[in-house]
Amino acid sequence: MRTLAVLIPLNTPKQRRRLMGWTVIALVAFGLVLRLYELGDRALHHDESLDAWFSQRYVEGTYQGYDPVYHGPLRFYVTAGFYWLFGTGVGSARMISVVSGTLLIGMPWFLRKRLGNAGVLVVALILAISPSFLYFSRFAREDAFFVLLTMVFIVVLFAHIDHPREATLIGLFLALVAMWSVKESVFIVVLVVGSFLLVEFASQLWEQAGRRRMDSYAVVAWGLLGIAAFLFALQGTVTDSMVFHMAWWGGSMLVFVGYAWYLSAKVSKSPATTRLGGSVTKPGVDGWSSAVAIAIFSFMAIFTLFFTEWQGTNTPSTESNSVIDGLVGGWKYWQSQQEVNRGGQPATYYLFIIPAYEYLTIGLALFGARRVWVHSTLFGRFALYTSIISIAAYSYAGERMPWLILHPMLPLLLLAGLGAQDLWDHRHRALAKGSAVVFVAALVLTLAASFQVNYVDPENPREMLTQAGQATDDLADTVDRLYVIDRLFQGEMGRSPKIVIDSELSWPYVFYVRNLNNVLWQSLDTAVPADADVVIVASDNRQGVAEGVPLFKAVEQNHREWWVAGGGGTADYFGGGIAGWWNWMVSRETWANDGGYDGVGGVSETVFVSPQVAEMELRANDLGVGE
Amino acid sequence: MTLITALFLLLCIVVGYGITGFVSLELRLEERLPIAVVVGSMVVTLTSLATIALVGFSGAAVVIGLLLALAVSVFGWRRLPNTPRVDGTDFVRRLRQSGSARDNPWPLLVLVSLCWPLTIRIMSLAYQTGPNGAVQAGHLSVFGDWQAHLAYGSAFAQRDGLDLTTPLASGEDFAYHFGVDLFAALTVPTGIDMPAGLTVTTGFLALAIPPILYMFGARLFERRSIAALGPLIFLGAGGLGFFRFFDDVRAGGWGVLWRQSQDYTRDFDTLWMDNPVLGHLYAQRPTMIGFPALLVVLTLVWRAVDRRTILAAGVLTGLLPIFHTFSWGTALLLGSFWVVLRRRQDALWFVVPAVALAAPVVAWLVPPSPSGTFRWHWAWVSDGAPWDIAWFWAWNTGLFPVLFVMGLTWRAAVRRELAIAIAPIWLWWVGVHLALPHPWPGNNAKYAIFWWMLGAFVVAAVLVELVREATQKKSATSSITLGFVVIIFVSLIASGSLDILAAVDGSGGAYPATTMSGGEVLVGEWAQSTADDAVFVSTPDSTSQPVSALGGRQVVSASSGWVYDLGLNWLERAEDSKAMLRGDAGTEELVAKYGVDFVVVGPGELRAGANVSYWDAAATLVYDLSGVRVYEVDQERS
Repeated sequence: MRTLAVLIPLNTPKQRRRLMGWTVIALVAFGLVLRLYELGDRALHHDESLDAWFSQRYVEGTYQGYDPVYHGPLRFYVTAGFYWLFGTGVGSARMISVVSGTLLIGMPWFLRKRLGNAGVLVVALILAISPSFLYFSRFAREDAFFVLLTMVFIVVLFAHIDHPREATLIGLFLALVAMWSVKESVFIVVLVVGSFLLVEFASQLWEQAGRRRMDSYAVVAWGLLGIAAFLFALQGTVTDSMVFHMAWWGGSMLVFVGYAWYLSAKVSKSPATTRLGGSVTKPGVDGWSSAVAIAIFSFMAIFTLFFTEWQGTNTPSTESNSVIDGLVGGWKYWQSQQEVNRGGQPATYYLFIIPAYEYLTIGLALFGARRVWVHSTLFGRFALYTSIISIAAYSYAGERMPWLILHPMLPLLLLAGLGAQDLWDHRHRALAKGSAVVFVAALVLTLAASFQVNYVDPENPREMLTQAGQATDDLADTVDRLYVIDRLFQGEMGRSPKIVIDSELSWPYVFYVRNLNNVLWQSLDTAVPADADVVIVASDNRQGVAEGVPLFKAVEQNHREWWVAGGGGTADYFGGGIAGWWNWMVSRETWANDGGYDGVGGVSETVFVSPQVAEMELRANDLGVGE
Repeated sequence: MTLITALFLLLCIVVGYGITGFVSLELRLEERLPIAVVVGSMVVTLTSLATIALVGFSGAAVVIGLLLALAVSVFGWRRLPNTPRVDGTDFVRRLRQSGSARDNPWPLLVLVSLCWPLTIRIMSLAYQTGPNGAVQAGHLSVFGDWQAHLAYGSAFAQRDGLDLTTPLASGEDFAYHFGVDLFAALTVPTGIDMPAGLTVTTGFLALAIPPILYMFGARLFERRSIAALGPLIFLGAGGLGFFRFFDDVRAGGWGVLWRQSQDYTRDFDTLWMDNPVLGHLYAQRPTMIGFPALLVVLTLVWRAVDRRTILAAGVLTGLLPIFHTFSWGTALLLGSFWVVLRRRQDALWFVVPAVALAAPVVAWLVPPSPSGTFRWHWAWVSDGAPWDIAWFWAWNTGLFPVLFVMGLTWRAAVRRELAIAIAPIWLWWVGVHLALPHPWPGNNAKYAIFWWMLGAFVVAAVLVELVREATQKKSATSSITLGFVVIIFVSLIASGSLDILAAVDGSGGAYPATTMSGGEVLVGEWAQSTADDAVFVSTPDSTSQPVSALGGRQVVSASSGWVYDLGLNWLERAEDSKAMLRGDAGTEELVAKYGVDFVVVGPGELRAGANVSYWDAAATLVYDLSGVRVYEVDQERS
């Protein structure tokens, strides 16, 4: 038997790098297993069912194109591809997130020169097991896909800065187009990364001008200036002036750049000789032309459904041109939604939800910030700046949802990776040793929290990662029941049962019952069709239906559940205080308001079945079939 | 598929990977892995069969079987020349080489990137849930053959003990190479049902087939181009049926490409060979192990450097009959010829295990009255004159036979020793013109397919050599030659590709078609609760017999075609079944003769004339749901 040292040789950097590579591969495989395990068990969320539905429409050829209400079309194409491969279902609807989340685990490998070996491993580990990354890698929305594309963008960006060439420029543009065609968060990414590049460019010009090298203090100061600009712009919160806010902030950056450019020009130094300047000029006109042309072609292909649909979807939030819709429709629509603040979450939302689940990342990120402060690198400044500005930007943006946590988490994770590397570099010091113990403890707690929210009780409304649209186990069971009833009824009666579903409860039922023949959707605040065999009605309309079908057997259940902290219209995360948060962290207990209401509510529904159906179910149950 | 199922399959690969350590041949990762899939599946199936025989079918038996297989594989793991990590690193290194480097595996990656998505897609369409809870088949292969395989698999999965009586004809021995169906049944304790088990295991094995075909081509012909082209020619094979497609286009426009109304490789009138993927691999599941195992055996025999490898080839051959008897016969005959051809001193190390291990199983598989089914017959299904035979093969395989002969005689394309080694496969082709060993004449294609499979590489060699010479000469005729090569290649795969396209599209023609109604699915589930040896009577006119397909229970007569093909008394059983359903005079004697316990009266039985009033009086109604009734017969009373 060979010795361990021979099995795992670590003498040379190449050997260590190889071991790290195999460890990352193992983490990717582990992450894939975590994402696939019981993938289809959790009931579909309202938004998931919409995504699944539109993807199915693409398969059927009835999808008409981009509507910013439902975000970019690229992910419908990809999910449709999974449907084509594996068949349509809950699991395949979530595959785009599974694959994205899994690939994301391996992405830190491509930043190994910047993160360091320890940094790569820690970031990969956290991506694999983090409660939020794991949860939304099993969730059929576009966020995991978008974050993967963002990571690709970051990797290619730094590859381009290191070695500017046409290929990386094309890669950047393609990543941007892909992000644009997935989610309108691309505008935030452009804002955050773009502003950093402006700041960094200015600092390089400044240094080139012979001025005292802009040290980390100055970078932070400019970053703080940016935040101050945000806060200043927030005063009054006239959200329809978002454009003004952005212009104000962007303008201040440009003023700084302009001044630095002036200083550089005074000493006859060209901007192109800076590192960032060179990354712009070195690909040359040919490189830029190719990149732009490919980007335009790709953009048009995606938004016109591969050149088959030019007229667009013609909805209230679109024009009648697919390309125009893609270019400006998303921005216009989401700008108009800033006031709406769907979800009713406060601006401090991310300051609660991120620490609630990702304390491991935050702790390491603090060490990362310290590392950047002491030993400033371009990547370190990038991670620090984008972490702070991303949280600010998403807090500012008018819709705050749990799935959006992934977006500010990404740069925070990179910062955490730097922190992990810093601890490893100083592992002989007492602080590092003590921190390692805390790290392990935090890791164990993170694993427990991740296990709880992803496998034990994924529909628990008290989890902040679940959101008001999350359907319950009861609904999933009802869907199974409907298919059994359909099977029984067809054999007994020679026809499909007439199933009437309250239009208030459309989603996720629409996707779930897609294979049933005789489903009627209507508002049940009026009469129930006389020949209905099964009726599913929202609690508001229950009484009327019950009077209309007195002989039907009824089962009341929850359709969706949610928690609004503080029990009011807008969530109040301060209301519980430290004790409240402690209880929540330990046992997911929620705190009540003065009126005793703890904010856990929901939409309930009642399932009515005819006596005929009830009798069939009883017989099947006696025979032990159809379960 | 559950995660446990995936783990089970992964462990089968682990078993197989270790088993490859018994072979001295230096295998690469892209060879060892697909071999591991096939060999691991075989070993796990055999060890599980042993444990099932001892303790009955259960999850525990499967686990024990798996552990036994892993234990056996440990000895192989210790002999492996490299760890998987080293093999993986080597694979990446070779991939990073120049594309023209001899051992760069990029052509294999292109091949699998084409084959694997199509495989997964076809598998995802195999069984679908239709309206009203019906089980729908996505292809004729599933609607027909898979219903029988479903019954075979359920006979293991839904019976507690090991009972080697066939579910298709009560009281008769299994007498079928059921190995691959048992392998599917082993996945049921992992949390999936039998239809899913068939689909998952078929897909699992199917993914290994293109790489093994590639390996065979690379190892014997020593050219990557032949290794990549050969599988395409075989898997896309069909005859000249594509000419009918042009007729369809003239009638209905190019849209018929997505709405094909007929098959272009099979009509059982003039087209009998069928496409290898759809008619042989997909439909006849034993080939999923038989074909790749055969190729592995031949590769080992051809490239063996020592006795250990020859012995491994012999043992692998000897274990084949329970999985695919036809492949066993081909491996034995051709392999024996090859060890003699290469003047191996250790030839007996191949022949003896190949025969000794197989003999008891082959004896058990022989039908009760083989002389009743075997008959001499000239020219198979063609009219008999030489021109008719030539036209038949041209219509069914295009230019394939001509190119095959050309390759065997063209030294530049195929070297002499290899040509001599492959040439005897023509005896299989000759044989199909001399006899009909099976009741149904179409089964002769099961012998000709081997000729088609090995010949595909010879044909590929011819095309590759033509291209090579044309590109080297760079003359005016070079372009013409290249054009001809392209036309020939397209003609070889056009018909098969059209049929595969229809299977992949899944929305045209008669499919998906209901194979079991919702009510039939329910009674199949209920049948699982009856005694293991319960005997049912149901209609012999349908392939949809849920009590056998899902319940694993014996029926007096399954679909007549299947019983006929097994060489059993199909007509008598079918008529007796219908007589019992009708309650004809003598029903009680028939019930006693077959030991009937239950009588099914569903929509199919009613169409066959079942008499509900008779059975209401003569037996006890024990199941009445969703349009299906089942009566329990009191045998003493009858």
